[in-house]
Amino acid sequence: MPERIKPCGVDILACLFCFAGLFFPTFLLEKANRLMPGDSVSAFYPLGVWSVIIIVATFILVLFSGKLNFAYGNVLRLSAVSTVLVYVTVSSAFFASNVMEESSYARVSFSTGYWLLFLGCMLLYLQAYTTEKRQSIRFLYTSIIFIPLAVIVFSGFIDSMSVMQEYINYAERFKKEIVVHLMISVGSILLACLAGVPLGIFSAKRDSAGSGIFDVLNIVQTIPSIALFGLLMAPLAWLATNSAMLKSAGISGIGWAPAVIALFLYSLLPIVRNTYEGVKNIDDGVREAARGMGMTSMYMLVKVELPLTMPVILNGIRVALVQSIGNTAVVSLIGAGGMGIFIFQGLGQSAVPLIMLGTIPTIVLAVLADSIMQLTISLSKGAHNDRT
Amino acid sequence: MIELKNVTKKYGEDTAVDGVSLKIDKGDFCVLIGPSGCGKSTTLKMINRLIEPSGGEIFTDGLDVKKQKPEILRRGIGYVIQSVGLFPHMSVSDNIAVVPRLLKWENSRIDKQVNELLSLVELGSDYADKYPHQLSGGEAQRVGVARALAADADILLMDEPFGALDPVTREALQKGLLRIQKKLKKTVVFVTHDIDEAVRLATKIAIMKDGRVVQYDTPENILNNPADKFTEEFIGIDRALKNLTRMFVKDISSKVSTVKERDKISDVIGLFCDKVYLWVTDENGRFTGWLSKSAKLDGSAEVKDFMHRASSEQYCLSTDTTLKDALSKLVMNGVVVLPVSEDDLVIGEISLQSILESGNG
Ligand SMILES: Nc1ncnc2c1ncn2[C@@H]1O[C@H](COP(=O)(O)OP(=O)(O)OP(=O)(O)O)[C@@H](O)[C@H]1O
Ligand SMILES: [Mg+2]
Repeated sequence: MPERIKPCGVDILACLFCFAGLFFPTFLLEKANRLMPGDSVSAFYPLGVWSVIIIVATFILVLFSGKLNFAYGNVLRLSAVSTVLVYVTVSSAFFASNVMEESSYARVSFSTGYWLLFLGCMLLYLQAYTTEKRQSIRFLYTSIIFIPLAVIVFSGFIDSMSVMQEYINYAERFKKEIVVHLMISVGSILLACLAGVPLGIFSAKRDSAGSGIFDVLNIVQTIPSIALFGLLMAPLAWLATNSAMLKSAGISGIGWAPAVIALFLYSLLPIVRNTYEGVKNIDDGVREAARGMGMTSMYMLVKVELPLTMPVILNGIRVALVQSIGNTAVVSLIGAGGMGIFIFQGLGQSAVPLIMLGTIPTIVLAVLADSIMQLTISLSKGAHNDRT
Repeated sequence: MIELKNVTKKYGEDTAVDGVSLKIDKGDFCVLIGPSGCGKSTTLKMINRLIEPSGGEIFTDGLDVKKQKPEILRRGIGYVIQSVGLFPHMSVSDNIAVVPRLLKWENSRIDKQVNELLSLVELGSDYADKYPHQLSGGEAQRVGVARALAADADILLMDEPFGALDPVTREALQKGLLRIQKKLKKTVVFVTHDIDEAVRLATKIAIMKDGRVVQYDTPENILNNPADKFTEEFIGIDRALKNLTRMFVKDISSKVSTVKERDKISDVIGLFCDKVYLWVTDENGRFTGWLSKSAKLDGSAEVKDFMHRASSEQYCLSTDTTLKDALSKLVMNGVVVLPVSEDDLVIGEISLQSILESGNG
């Protein structure tokens, strides 16, 4: 069956990234101290020749087993990918701690080669994830890749890497800002649900209202986030100076208030649109039967329309939540905090590890939120989920 | 009992229903029939106030529907539609239990009712936990009928309930509905544009055209005396045959003496009288063929030596066959008389003459 062993496009691309990363001259970056320009370190130093050969062989195996559909084939493949990632990361960390033993000012950071390899592994994971339809298996894939990484990060295995050095330097701040990040993104989504679901239902029931609401929301969606913050600043500042109550509630032209409002506005469109579509798509016969049997509009909404629409609404919330977690990374620009603090500080100092300290948790939060929502959605479909 | 008095429905300038008056007695099966757009569904939906009339009055059991809250009114009226409209997220039993739950019945009473209804519509109790997407069209509509009957409403409104089903399934559901109606004696208003369906099911037919009722009578009267050219064309030139679909073999079958294969010809020859055939059965009374009257019959021989053997499948009519089908079988076999059997036993016969006489009556 030579045809079936032929690897698919995304897998080839992913493995090319991995190979490019492994053989890229700058796999890690070694600096005499935090501010000095660094020296390239190739993957052969931390890993050794034999490990590199074994890793290359592993990726070739992963590549050519791509189309073998034996049971749990992808579980095995992703386990191999996860093992390689953990091994490469831990080996780099050992290398870094050896360097630091010689000079405690020296810094070793992950560099282009490592991140290429990392990107390749993520592509392999995403390819497996997106081609799998069963939610439980998808969740398994996510666990296989991210739990080992989380373990080595949190157990201090890679504390010698400069990302973690940055983390150690900023630990207090980091813990505070990640909570802020979550509060802002989840908070704005909760508000958007409270407003968006009723709005979606309302516009589905009144056709005339629907198009007006969507016009407004579509325009909001096209405003760049920075511009939206700017637009909100002036009115909020005005409100704060004119109302002592709002001011004492912490509302002002900068800070969390414009951030939450902007993110809330962005989140409305996916939530309102999905609610609207979901309610609209309910079969007319179902609605006629419900009315004909003597359900009141409220009873019909709660017992028929909302349960039938719930998976679609939750999907809108999922999209909005992932988008909101990503967007929260820029709200530090208006003094609202979050992971953006590290990203923009890192940008200012050209300190890639600091940028990573802000970026990686943002990505991880988004992936986690996505998985949790996916799982919730498949649970909400319940026993009638064969319905298309 | 349902009474419509001069009921009208206008949409702007257009009149969908124009002064309809109907009195549907308790236990009647009233079929509204007419071409598409003539206002059948509108008339039906005004009874349970899914549509509010622009004029006229409607009474159910003597009560003006306008005086009742629409939701309360509807809970007391079963409603079945062509698209069924089962709730996809509810199991079959939960679908059936919707109105009883709205009426706050006790759970034990609901469970008992669901089980009774499932067997009434000939679905096994293993259907209770299925979901609508697991049902065929026919099964779904059986559930739809069970759901409409769930709260023991006296009135049942059905809007082309079998319109989307294939002919075989449709006939099975029509038979089922007739059986249920015989047992429960609901007051039914049934919309269709299939005249055969109307003739098969109705005790009263209302023929509608352009929002008006042009004739309201029993199927027999409508078939025999169409009020005008429109009705006559609508029911079709085969209206005499249609009438035959409402009559059954058992209604006009006449008793006959049969002979057994081992009987001696001399003993049975007297049974012929003016008949041409005698039906021959085996020892148990099952049809095996016939004996023709002829000069060649030898009195000392046995019936089986002279009989003509034939299969009961081809020749026997069962008692619940319609006269239309019986006529078809007579024509198909090119004969003027056929035996009637019940539970495989020959119990009588039916002649072309008797069908012709009842068709005219
Ligand atoms: N909501 C509405 N607005 C305007 N006109 C309507 C509306 N509903 C129905 N009509 C019109 O009223 C007339 C009767 O409609 P109705 O649905 O009662 O017909 P019907 O006899 O049930 O036809 P069919 O056999 O096709 O179901 C039609 O001419 C239709 O166009
Ligand atoms: Mg209709």
